[in-house]
Amino acid sequence: MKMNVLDPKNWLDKYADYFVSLAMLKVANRALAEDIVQDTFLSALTHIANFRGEASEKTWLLSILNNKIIDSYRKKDVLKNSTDYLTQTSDSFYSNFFNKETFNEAHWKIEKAPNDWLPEQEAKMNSTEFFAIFSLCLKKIPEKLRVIFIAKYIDELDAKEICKENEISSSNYWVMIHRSKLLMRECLDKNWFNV
Amino acid sequence: MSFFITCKEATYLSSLKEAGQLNFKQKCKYFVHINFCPPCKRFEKQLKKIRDSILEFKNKVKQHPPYKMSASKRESIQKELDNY
Repeated sequence: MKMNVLDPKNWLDKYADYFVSLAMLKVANRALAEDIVQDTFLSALTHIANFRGEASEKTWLLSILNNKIIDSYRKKDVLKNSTDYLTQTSDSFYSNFFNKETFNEAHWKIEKAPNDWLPEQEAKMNSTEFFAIFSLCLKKIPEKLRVIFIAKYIDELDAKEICKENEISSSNYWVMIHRSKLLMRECLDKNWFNV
Repeated sequence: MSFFITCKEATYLSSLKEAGQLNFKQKCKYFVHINFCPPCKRFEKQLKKIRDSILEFKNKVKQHPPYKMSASKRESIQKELDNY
């Protein structure tokens, strides 16, 4: 088996811009993103003895980067008391989007119902400008929901992993995903599709 | 229990649908709703579009990082790496 080796002198050239860009997606703050990357490299140096050469250098550094990013946007116990939070905010949250549930008719409020997106704006959803807006919308999502949204949509983890890692029940998970999707869609709608 | 669901419920079920976790009853209810409710259908479509664009962006970032590390930051890190 080929053993991978570390080459710290070339880390900046190989990874600096890539890592800053990845961090920007989640934290939407240039200075913070750069600090996180610096922290990643320095932390890698101090833990260089832990590198066993089984993973590639890039994979190893990426896992450190991901942990540093997570540390930056979530407090340790951010998902504690999720059930209370979701129950207490339920009415006020959903009444933003839907009419009251009388006769089982909690339909969209007229001004909140999704409309078609402009094709020319949709076509630019792979642009850096779009992702600057996306990152700002991400920042606006309440912290508890944001952690879950990032895990699913950016880190591509599945429901089971996310519940286990964050110690939340599966029913809370689906509610949090539901809410974060409503918020993200609305924010992009306002700031990208209707400008 | 009604066969018709609300938009609140339909948008909730859309995540379970995406994960392939709807039971038969939920599938029927969701399918009926989505076919009569353009806004909920758009909701599903637009969220899929958002998901796809994130994946596309993540791939693009590997080849062409849109953000560059500032020269001053680069310099201060390089010093530390060189010391190693």
